[in-house]
Amino acid sequence: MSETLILGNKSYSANLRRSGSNFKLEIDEDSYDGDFERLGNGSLSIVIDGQRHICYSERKSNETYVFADGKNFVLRRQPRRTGSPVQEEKAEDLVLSPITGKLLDCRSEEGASVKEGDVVIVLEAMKMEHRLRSPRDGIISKITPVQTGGQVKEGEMMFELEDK
Amino acid sequence: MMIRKILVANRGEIACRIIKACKEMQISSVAVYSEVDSDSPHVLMADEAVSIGPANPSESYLNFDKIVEAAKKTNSDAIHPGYGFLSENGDFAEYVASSGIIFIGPDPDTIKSMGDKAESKKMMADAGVPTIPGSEGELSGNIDATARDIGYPLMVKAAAGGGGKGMRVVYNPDDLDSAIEAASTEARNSFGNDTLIIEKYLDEPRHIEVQILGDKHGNVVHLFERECSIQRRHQKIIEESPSPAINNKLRKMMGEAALKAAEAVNYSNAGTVEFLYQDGEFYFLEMNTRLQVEHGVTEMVCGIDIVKWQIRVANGESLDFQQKDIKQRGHSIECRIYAEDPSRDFLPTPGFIRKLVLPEGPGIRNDIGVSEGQEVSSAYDPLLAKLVVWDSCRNSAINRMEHALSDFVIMGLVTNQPFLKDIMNNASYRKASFTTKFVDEEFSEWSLDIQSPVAIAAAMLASSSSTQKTTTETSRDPYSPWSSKGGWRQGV
Repeated sequence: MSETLILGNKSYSANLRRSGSNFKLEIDEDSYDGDFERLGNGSLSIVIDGQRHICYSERKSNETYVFADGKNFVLRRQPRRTGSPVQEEKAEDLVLSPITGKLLDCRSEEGASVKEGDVVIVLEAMKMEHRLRSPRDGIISKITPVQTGGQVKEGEMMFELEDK
Repeated sequence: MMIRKILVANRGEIACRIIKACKEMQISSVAVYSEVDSDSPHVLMADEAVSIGPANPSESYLNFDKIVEAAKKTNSDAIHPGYGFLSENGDFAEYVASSGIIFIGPDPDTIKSMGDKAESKKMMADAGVPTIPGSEGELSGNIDATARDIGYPLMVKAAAGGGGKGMRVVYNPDDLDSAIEAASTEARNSFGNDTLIIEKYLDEPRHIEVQILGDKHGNVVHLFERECSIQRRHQKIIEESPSPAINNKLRKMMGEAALKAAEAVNYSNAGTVEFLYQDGEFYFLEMNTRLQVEHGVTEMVCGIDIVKWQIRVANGESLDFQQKDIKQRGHSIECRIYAEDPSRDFLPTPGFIRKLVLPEGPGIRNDIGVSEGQEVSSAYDPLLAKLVVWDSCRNSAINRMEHALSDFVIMGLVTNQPFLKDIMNNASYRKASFTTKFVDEEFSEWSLDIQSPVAIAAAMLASSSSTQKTTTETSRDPYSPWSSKGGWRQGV
């Protein structure tokens, strides 16, 4: 099974073939042989190059939570069909919330025109402020219905742009 | 003992730390919690818990009335404020005392005078504690001569200032006039006040602080220093004791200066005197009139439980040791584990903790405020845990920390662990050659590298959450005939 794994703005093409407890892993151009075993406490023992690593991983819908090598991260799987160029262009006009937190301020409204770099929405999580800016000049065609002080989730639509 | 029950007016790891001290001292503990914290470890750990309102701190953890009311309702004798929240609020300390409850911390007047930066600097200068040289008050007369006396580089800044506005660093006397003009224009526009002061500018400072501890009978000691120069956006992330930057002579001088500072304000309870250090000189920065986040490294090297002593001295007991009894032994390092994503510019990462396994072994201490199966709320600070290690020397302590970070399993949300681990492996960090600019200088281009075959293999071999449960349940007993191994199937 070959998969594209996305972490932040990077993506990795990986392929893993199993035969019993052995596996062969290909990441982009590199290839590794290893051995694995599932342990009782939900952990995973992975041996590569004679070194054992105790890892933890769990998949929930299209997200995979991983703890390995002292690193914890959430990988997202590439949706099965990648969008057509038109859809990708549209995706740039759609600004999603990068965090789960509180909406502190909404500085625009539907139909308003904005310039590239204008702060449209201010969010707060864990005592840190995060400003969402307009990626380009345009008109706000859609904006979050969440009121000031309300909660937003990571990945939720914050605003959408259209051409003037 | 007068103190039989303590209300802990805080949450997270520090509330847990204080409750543990109470238990060991056979003092009853009361937790307070907001709506989102009802299942948090500090609530489950305390003997009693009182709900004090919504997640928004001003309606719960910062609310004087709700906290004092909870203390009265539970017949608590004392309130421990922890750090943050109300810990450095002199009015709160006063209010607690006037309600007939012991505030575990210094006198309200001390908290207030040390909270005012200008006032505290003046008090310390008067007491003979070195402060950053600068103009006394408003600039006037022969500015060039004043500047020459202070020495370059220097900083021109608005007296009413803050947030970097109205500030100019001047490296060369020729640039002084234009810097003064620019700063005063900016100060006038930003604060409506163009009064300026000048001060020596430290371009490569270290942040070194001294722990102090005093009782109510005039005894005060210092517990040596902590090195806190590893910071990100002015937030400390790694602390250690002893500081690798100073020798024993300087260590002694800083300790004595800290004692002078403590005596000047008749300090009782635990506190910290922060200094900036550069080129063999140190200068008073501020005094923190509370327990510090990083108190653990001091406890590890001095063998003194600071939280327990806070409680004892608040109870009127005298310190049962003197300065000469206190020694620094070995080396201790703390890493702060934050719910922040180092691959996305350290964005906060609230979420659900699916797995939590703590590192164990000689010289490893976990101060933690979260548990497996807990939702980490976006309403509070991202500090999840403090990982503290001790070993006989700095190099061994770094190696120990590096491994402990790898063994500190948090799965489900992203933390800054890889960033901390890379600092442990950084050559300048290992050589102890760093200033408060370390993170900006060494890690500005840093990005998370997950291109580890182990990590990718773990991701590719991940079991889905539903089957995960079955695997865990069936594999508890390796000899169970119901285990899925070997092709047996129930009812076939």
